[in-house]
Amino acid sequence: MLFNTWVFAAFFAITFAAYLATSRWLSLQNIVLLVASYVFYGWWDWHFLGLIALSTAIDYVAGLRIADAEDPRTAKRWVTLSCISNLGILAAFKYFDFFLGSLGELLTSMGWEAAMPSLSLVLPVGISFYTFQSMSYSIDVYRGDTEVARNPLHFAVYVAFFPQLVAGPIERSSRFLPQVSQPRTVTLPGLESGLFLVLWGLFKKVVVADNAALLANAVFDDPSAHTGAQLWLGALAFTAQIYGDFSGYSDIARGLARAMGFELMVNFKLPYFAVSPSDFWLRWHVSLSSWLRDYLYIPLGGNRGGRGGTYRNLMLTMALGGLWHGAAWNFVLWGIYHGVILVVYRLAAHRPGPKLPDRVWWADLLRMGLMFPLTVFGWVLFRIASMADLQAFLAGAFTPSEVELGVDAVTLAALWAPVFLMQLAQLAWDDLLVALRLPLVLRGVLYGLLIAACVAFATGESIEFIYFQF
Amino acid sequence: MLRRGYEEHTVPRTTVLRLLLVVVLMAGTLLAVNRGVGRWLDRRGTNLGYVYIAHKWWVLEQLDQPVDWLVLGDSSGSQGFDPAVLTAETGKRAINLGTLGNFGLHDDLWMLEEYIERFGPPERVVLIHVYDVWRRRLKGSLVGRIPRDWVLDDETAERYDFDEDKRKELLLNRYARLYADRTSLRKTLEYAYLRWTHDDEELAEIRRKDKALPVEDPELMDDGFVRMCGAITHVVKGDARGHMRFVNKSRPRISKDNREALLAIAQLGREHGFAVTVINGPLYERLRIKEPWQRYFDGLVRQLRTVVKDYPEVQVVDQVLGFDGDQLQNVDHITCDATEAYTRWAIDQIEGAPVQR
Repeated sequence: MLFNTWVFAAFFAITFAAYLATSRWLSLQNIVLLVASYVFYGWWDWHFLGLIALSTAIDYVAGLRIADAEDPRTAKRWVTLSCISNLGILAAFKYFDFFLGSLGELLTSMGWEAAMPSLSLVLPVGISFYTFQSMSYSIDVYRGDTEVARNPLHFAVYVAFFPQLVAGPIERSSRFLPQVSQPRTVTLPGLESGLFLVLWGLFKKVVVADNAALLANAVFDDPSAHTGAQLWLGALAFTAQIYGDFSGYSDIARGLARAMGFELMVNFKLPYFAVSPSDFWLRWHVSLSSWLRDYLYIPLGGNRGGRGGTYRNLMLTMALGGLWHGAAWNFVLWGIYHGVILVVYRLAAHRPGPKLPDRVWWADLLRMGLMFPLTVFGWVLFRIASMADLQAFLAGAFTPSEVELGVDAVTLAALWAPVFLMQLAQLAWDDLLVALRLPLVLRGVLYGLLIAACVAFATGESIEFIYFQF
Repeated sequence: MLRRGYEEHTVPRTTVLRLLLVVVLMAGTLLAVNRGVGRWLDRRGTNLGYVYIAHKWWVLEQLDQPVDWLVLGDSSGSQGFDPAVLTAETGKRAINLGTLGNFGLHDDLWMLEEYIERFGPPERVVLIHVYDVWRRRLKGSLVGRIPRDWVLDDETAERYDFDEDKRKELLLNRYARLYADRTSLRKTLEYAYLRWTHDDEELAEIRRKDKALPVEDPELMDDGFVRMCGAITHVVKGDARGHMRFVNKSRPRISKDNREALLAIAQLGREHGFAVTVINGPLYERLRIKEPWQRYFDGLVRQLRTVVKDYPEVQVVDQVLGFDGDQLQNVDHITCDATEAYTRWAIDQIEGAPVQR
């Protein structure tokens, strides 16, 4: 069930009505949420409900055992079991075929014919999101960073909460579990800001991302058939697509949750205004980057092992972060690329000599002017379908070609213009909800225009959110 | 300082009334945009069929005095029969309300009914249709385009046997133009940009390659005539091959929808005492002279005459005027330099020939 469908609109209307009707009884309301979440997830394939229930059961029991353990070794065993189970589910469904397939190709290239086994499992939607969310709970209980959830209903809602179940934000138990276990209040400001977030998210998905996808796909489906200018236009189109797609989803998720009285974390903070790679990761998919920081980078040693250790940890974290996005080498390459630019920026920061002044607007503009193309190039690695396509892209992209302001370029500019204007306002007022500062009349008009744009510029078929596959 | 945008702050205070007002304004804006886009596409849209429907119904609405001839039919006649030539030749007045082939004869019937209601019967009704239109069924989505409230009546749905899907399609086409016309809207925006950035020659070349764009911007006359002047010879030849395939594999047939509408028009002719002429639109000469085409057309004329055998008021013309490729935009749409010839020929056929049984 996609957010941008009438089925979901009907589903949410029914769920919200039931949610409001049960607002006096917290447990009943949580049952409504759980049933709705399982219906939402089972809509894709009800078989996978077993998987999410399994992940929930393992971490619920693990959390209890860890919290109740008198012997630290028992707690450690249970947290290890939780991690192995969740990573095992991920490995089986997402990475098994990839790694064995890659091994088979390697052996074949070395002259050994190797028939590798294959599980050929369908990748359950959103598996990377809910396994990470569920697993982080066990780790947090082990670390003492969160209260144990003794009520299984609360924990099940925490894992399966439908607005963020399949594409995040990846919530932390310390933030989210208290919201599940305590009564929520549906407020009028919450309803309006939720409405805005949903409409703005839909606009970014339906209008910006889905239309930019048409331009990007035309280029990335066959990079060798395009000129340098067209290739870069395709790269920019994908840059717009992936932002619109993923931040759009996050906004809708946050808007729906907010309407119900929940507060999900802000997942995107104007990432294309980043001034450096580390700044980018403070702004892009914040719930994942902070997860990787807290549960991978810091446990690996973080920046405590000197420069060499820090760089190694950064590279490892980013490579694994890339792999989290999908079982394909281009994602690993994308992760490594980000690791490299993080390291290069750190090296540059440590070198002696003159530096750009800090927190001065023109210097920040220069930094953005460098970081944005680096980000775009990263998206090329992310989007490319094969190494042969990457070679074709690189060969074509750096060959001079005539730049023509054609319909595609104008279309992309027109798609991006509203997002850019909104972001400038968000930046200027330092407020991601700046649109809510508009007078009431203009807000009503803005919402109407957003819906009109979604209706008029929908691409005809519902394109799945990119991050569903991760 | 540009390192901002990390947080969200504003959550405005509001009341139920203010929130309701926001929702009302939102709905109002959506409706206004929907209406505005609909009107714009009716005037400037790249889907000329819809432009014609809007224009022709507007012509009928604006008409303030009766005419002698009411010319109805499809776009071949809309672009082929010039009322000004009729006036010059005979002193008679006419309006050309031809729209689209996919309407079949229903649009003809509806316009005729409205005309009679307002002005009484005309002296003559001319139905100009291309030979292959007669087999088509009425397309529900098109009915939604007609700017009259009766299209939504239960009575209309019953009369034309509209099922749920057709009624839904009709409603979307009538009220949700933003949705129903989204492909047209994109293309029209693209076309507006192209018109802004390219000169006429470049634009002609773009239009030649992109079939979703209109072959040219039509001149819509107040008497309903559609003036188009650029020949597209290469399209004509390809189009003719398609028509040859069609006549080779098909037998002439008149759909139930068209049969009923024709009989209804004939009945109106009898009741109100006006003549009805059925005549084919202009045609590519090289297609017209082909034996399979002649065979198909002769068969069609026979069928038409059988349908109206009880109505002496109805005349079915069994001749077709052919044109060279350099006077056509496709096999049955002539350019403006050929309309005078076609209109004169049609007048001769209509006035000269006896009622054929």
